[in-house]
This record gives sequence, structure tokens and C-alpha cells, in this order.
Amino acid sequence: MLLFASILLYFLAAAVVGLVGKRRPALANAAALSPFASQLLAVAWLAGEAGDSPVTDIEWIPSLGISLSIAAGPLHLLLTVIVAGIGLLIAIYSAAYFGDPGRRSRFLAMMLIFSGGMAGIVASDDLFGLFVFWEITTVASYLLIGFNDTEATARSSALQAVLVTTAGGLAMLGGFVLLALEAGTSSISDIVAAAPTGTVTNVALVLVFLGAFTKSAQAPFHFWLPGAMAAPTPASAYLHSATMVKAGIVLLVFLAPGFAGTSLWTGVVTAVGLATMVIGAVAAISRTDLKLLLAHGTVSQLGFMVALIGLGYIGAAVAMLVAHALFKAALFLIVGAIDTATGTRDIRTLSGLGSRRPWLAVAGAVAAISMAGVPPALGFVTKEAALDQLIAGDEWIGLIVIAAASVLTVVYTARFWFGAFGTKPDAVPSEVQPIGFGLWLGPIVLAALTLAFGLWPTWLEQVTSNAVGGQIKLVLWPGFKPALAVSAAIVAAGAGLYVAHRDWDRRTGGRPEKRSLGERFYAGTLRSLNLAADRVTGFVQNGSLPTYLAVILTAVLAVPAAAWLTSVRETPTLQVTNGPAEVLLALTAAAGAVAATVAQRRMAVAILLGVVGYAVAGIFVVFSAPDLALTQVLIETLTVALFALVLVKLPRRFGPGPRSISQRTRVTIASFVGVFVATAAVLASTVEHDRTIADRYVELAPEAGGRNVVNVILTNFRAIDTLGEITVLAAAAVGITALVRRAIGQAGEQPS
Amino acid sequence: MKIRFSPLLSTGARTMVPTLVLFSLFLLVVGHDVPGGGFAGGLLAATGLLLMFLAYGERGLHRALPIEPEVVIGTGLGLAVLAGLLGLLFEGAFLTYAFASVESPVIGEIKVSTLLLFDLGVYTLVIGLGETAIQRLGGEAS
Repeated sequence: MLLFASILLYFLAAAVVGLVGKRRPALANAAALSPFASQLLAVAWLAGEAGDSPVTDIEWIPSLGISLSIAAGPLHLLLTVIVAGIGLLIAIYSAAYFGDPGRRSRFLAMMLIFSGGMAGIVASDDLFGLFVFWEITTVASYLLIGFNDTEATARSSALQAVLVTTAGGLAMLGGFVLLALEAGTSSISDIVAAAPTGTVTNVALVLVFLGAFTKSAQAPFHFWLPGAMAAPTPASAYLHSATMVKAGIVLLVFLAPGFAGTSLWTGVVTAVGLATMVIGAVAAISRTDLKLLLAHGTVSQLGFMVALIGLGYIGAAVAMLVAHALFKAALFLIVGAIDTATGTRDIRTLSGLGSRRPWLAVAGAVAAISMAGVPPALGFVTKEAALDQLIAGDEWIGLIVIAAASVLTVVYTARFWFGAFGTKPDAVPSEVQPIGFGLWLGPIVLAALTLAFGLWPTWLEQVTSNAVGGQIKLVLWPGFKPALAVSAAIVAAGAGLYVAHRDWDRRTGGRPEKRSLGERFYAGTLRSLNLAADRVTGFVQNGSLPTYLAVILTAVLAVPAAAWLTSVRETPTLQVTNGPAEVLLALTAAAGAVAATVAQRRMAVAILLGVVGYAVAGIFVVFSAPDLALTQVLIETLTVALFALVLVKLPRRFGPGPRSISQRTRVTIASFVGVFVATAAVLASTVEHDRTIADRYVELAPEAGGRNVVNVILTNFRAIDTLGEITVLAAAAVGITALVRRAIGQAGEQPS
Repeated sequence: MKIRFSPLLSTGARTMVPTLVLFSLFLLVVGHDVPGGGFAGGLLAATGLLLMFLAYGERGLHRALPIEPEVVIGTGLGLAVLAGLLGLLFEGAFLTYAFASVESPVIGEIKVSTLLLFDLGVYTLVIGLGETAIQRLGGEAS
């Protein structure tokens, strides 16, 4: 319950920040930091508490057995600490990063919504609860990536990210439904405790993989992540290092106890992970934009984790996840600080920053050696653990691919650090603006943690082992073992390759960014979809009102009329009249209708239609339906007057005008529709009703708040219908506004 | 060009519109027991707006209801949803209502309920729709 409350606090804080952020920046900053801090406290308290049932069920759709289960197991708490802890540092950083209070509060509000979703994902024990939080992060990430909404690239990148991840999420939802049906429960812990097998389960798993792979930027869906670098740097540091891209990994880790080891799991997850690791690393070594370099590096590292999960080394994957969150967030924040201080993040123009900002360079160095897997940083410890397990498990293919990609990791890490902080002979030293405390704090703390956990990994070892329910060894000095030799060889080869690559790079001026297969497929699909939509719209919406009406009315005839003609068996008995008043009213209505068809002046037609309407209202009175009559009279009054408003702008008489449909066709369609509607009305009035519901309504009305049954039905028994109808009215108002504005814009000159 | 409005119409509107609005509120309040309700009440109030528009043009419409239609519609929809949410909060299900009745000296029993809030939402939204239609369709005509 405590954890659930701490998740809700994010959304509450988002509302507060969004509402008061502009006027009360200090209050907004405090409100933005509080949920992260309180969640950390909540975790600290929960970790101390040895509760026997850590799962809180909040019933959501009890009829489907769906609840928002929030679990406080060791794994959930570990992941929550990452989300809240790094979130706290990044919230502080953002407060310093955005100068304008309006932009700052907008960013913080979006980030809080995102964090709430993320905190929900990592603590969910129900598939559907997890899905809801998952999609909250998708929507929030769309807003965050497209934060600079005046830039076209930011908007298209945000759209690309949201389309790719939503498509994956949709597939995943399908997978969840199948999985829940197969297992008979939607609780994740119950599913993995008694994992179902068979074809349906395999289909479900593949669908779930699609969701996890799109979210965690696995090949061939990885292209959205570099694109998402259009986001402000604090967003990238949070979303693209510690949280959003980890969601897929987290989901796989949750499911691994039940499914890891099956041939489908091992084959698909490992292959995708390894391929992604190589693709990301190859792309990263030739980037010149520091942020893009990190993005491709992230793709590669995510691939590493996915591959480890595929091979069943969950503990190593979780340890890597922690290490990666720490160093990658630090590196992104450092890039943001460099960008703020110098106005660029291009390797080719940055020069001499290391001597001007030594502390930033040191923090960057610590994070960088962690990324490259060099002791004594945490990245070395976790990579060593992974290599050790690969060797012990005789996973030679995995080992070779991972080692090769790790060599490239060393190359792009060196490229990153020397590119950012090194002094280049052929470049002018960069102008450096001072940067504030807020921009310092995050990188320093994260780098310090990276170093501390690397030097003293015991605590993390214990927590990770608890989290995955198995022993995982994290040690700084493993002794002379094969894994250490592999690590040394990787670093040595990487260093050598970096020197060679740097010279090659200088000669050729770097490689241009090429679009990946997945990205080209995405672009192609989007383009053909737009083209098809254009064609269909052009054909269906040709702008002629008579054509639209003809289509609609013909459909009325074709479908319901045909159904009636084939289903009515016996001639109903008709009661001809209920008295002289009804006859008189009916004749009036008929006369008005006939006159309307032959009248030549538009205004006359409007008034004649009003006559028909009032006569019908009269008939309602005869049938003792005062509510209907009242409404009908009011509607007729309004519509006739509104008609008058429009008609003064049109010619008085109907002219010949251009006609898309001939007069004869119109008369034919109109007559048939008229006959059909009249027949339908007559038939409907003769059908025997089952009065059970009606009687019950009358009986219950006083209890439901009134004696007027019609009104009680509208506002109480069928209130959701009414809510839907007034929503339609609101949409109609939007439609009127849009259409009339458009028509005025198109006509240019109004006919008098 | 100076637009002239019929003095007959403007004098008539001045006396009729307040009556129409008052009657529309009456329809809204009594709707649960006798014919009326939020929809009919809203239509009647919109008719009042239309009368103001015909008599005094866009200025008249604006003076009668100086709020943009989008805001009116949004408020209406918001009130209806709020009534539903209050039900969820206090009665345990969306769109169930809480009732209370107050005894007052002159008028007698007054029924207060979140059902009235829902109907008020409908009423407000219909007025907003009417305002939209009048503004858009009548614009630049008068």
C-alpha cells in the first residue's frame, strides 16, 4: 500500500507542478522533488520491514479478475530505487537546466507523469496493471521527446518513437491476454510459478517480446532511440538510460523465471540481443554528436542485457542494468552540461574542455571507464560477472559476439571521452560558460556511486542476489581467471583499434549516418499509409453534399429496409386513429411536408418544415408524451431560427446550380426513403412490447430521485448513454466551428 | 454600413429574455418530477440567446453570455463527468447520485442532489452548443 501511495504521489505532484509552476517556481520545484524523495524513503522503510505478503491488490475490474497489483519484493524495490533515485538527481538537474519557469514546470510535470508510470511498471505484479503503466510511459515519452514542439524534427522523432513503441505495446497486450488465458491468471508471480507451455503460450511470448523489444530499442526497432535524442538532454538521461528503455528488460526479467530456458526464449531473445549489441556498437563508433554516440551505445548495451537474459543469466543482467543506469545517466547529464557550457556537443568542434572543467572531466572519466568495463568502476565488476558466467556456461558464440562488441564499446567510449574533453591540435579551444551547482550535482553523485559500487560491490551483490533469488558474484578482484583475461584482451584490443580508427576518422572525416532497415521500413509504411489515406479521402469525401446524402440514404434503404422486407411475416393489425385531434395534426404535417417539396423559396421551405415539426409535437401531446413534445417544440423553434440565419446568406430561391445527381434520381431516392421510414414508424407502433423493463422503471423512479420517469431514465438509469450523447453534442460543436471557419476561408468572398 | 435592429424586436427581447432564462432554470430544477430537465432547459436558454442575437447582433449575444462557447461546452461536460465521479467516490459507482433534502420556510422542501449537477452539466453544454451555432452560422450576417 505504501508503495502504491508513493506511485500515486507522482501524478499528484505532476498536477501541482502543472498548475502552479509558472507563478510559484519554488513551490513547483519542491513539489517535483518530493515524490522521488518520498519513494526512496518508502523503499527504505519497506526494505527494513520483513512483510510476509508484499503484494498489494487494488481491485480494478473485478469482473475480469484484473487488479493493479503492486508488489514490494526485493527485485521491485531495487528497480524502484533506480527509478526514484536517478529521477531525483535528474529532477534537480532539470530545475537548473531550464531557465524559463514556464518551460521548466511543463517539463517537470511531464517527467513526473512519466516517472509515475515507470515506478508503476517496475512494481507491478499484474500483466494488465503493468500494461497501463507501460502505456502511461509511452504517452509521457511522446510529450518529452517532442518537448521542443516548435522543431519539426522533434515532433517527427516523438511521433516515430510513439508509433514504434505503441505498435509493440499493442502486440504485447495481445500477448498478455493470451498468456493470462493460458495461465488462468494475470498475476505475474502466479504465471511464472506455474508457467504454461504449448503453441498458444509461444505465440503469446513472441507478442510480448515485440513489446519488450520495441520499448528497449532492440534491432530492428532500435532506430527510434537515436531519433529520440531530439528530446531535451535531461529527458534523454532519464528515459534513455535508466528508465523507459529498461522497461522491456524489466518485463523480460519478470517473466524469465517461468520461461527462460525454453528453446523459444533462448533462441529469440539471445539472437536479438546479440545482433542489437553489435549493430549499436558499430553505429556508435562513427558518431560525432556526443548524444547520438551515447544513444547508439545505449542500444548496444541494451542488447547486451537482453542477450544475457536470453541465455538465462538474469542476475548478471540485473547487475548490468544497475551499472548501466548509473554510468549512462551520468554521461548524458555531462553531455547536457557540456552543451549548456559551450553550445555544442560535436566532437569535431569541442576542444580543451578537460583542462577547463577538470571535475566534469573526472566524473566523465569514471562513468566512461564503467561503460568500457575497466576497473575499478562498477561496469567492470558487472561485465566480469557476465563474462564469468558465459565461460562457465560454455556459451562460446555468445562470448565471442559479446567480446567483439565490447571491443567496439571501448572504442566508442574512448572516442566519447577524448572527443568531449581532449584537446585537438586542429580545433580552436571552446568557449566555456560557467555552469551551476544543479548541473554538477547529478554527474558527480552518479560517478561517485559508480566508483563506490565498483570498489565495494558486496552490498549490490547481496541486493541483486536477493532480487533474482539466486547467487550472483560481484567482486572487484576475481583472481586470475579466464574472464579477467578476456576483459584485459577486450580493453587492449579496443585501445589499439581506437588509435587506428581515430586516424582513419581524421582522414575520411567520419561516416555519414545511414538509415537502418527498420527505419526505412517505418518511413515507407508511414508514407504509403498517408498516400492511401489521401486517395481514399479524395474518393469518398468529394465535397458534394447531395452525393453524401444520396450515399447515406441509399445505405438506409439497402441495409435496414432489406432486412425488414425479408423478416416481416404477418400483416400487423393497425389502429387507424385515436381521435379527431390526431387526424388534424397528421394532415397538417402531411400538408407541410408536401408543400415543402414544391416550394421555390428557401425560407418558405424552412418554415414549412417547422410546421411539420410542430405538428409532430402536437401528436406527442396526443400520445401524452409532454417531455418529447416540449423538446420537439424547442428544437423546432431553434432550428427554424438558425435556418433563417443561414438562409439570409444564400439566394432566396433554389437555382438550377451544378448538380452532381439528377433530379430524377433524387426524387426516387427521397420517395423510397420516405415510404420506408413511414412504414417503419407504423410497424414499430404495432409491435408487442415486453413491458417488464418499462414497468420496472416506473416503479423504481421515485427511489432514483424523481417522479418524471423520462427524466429519471435520462439522468439516472441510462446516465452513461446521456453522457455519451452530450459528448457527441460537444463534438458536433467542434465540427460546426471547424466546418464554418473552413467554409469562410475557402469562399473568400461572402455572397450578400 | 450601420445595421439597424428592429425596435420592436429589441424591446420585446429585453422583456422576454430574462423570462426565458428564468423559465429555463425552472425547467432544469423541476425536471425530475414534471416535464423539463437539463436538455429542454438548455434549449430554451439557447433560444433566449438567439433572440438576443436577432435583436442586438453579436454584441447582444456577447452581453447575454460573455463566455466563449468552447469554455461553456467544456464546463458542461466537466460538470457531468464530475457528477459521475462524485458518485464513484461517495456511492461506489460511476454516475450514481447522492440525495439530500432541505426544509425551508417559504419554498418548502428543496431537493439537493448530484443528479441536479449532472443535469446542470447537460444544461450548460446545450447552451454552449447553441451559442456555437448562433455565433458560427449567424456570423457576419446580421
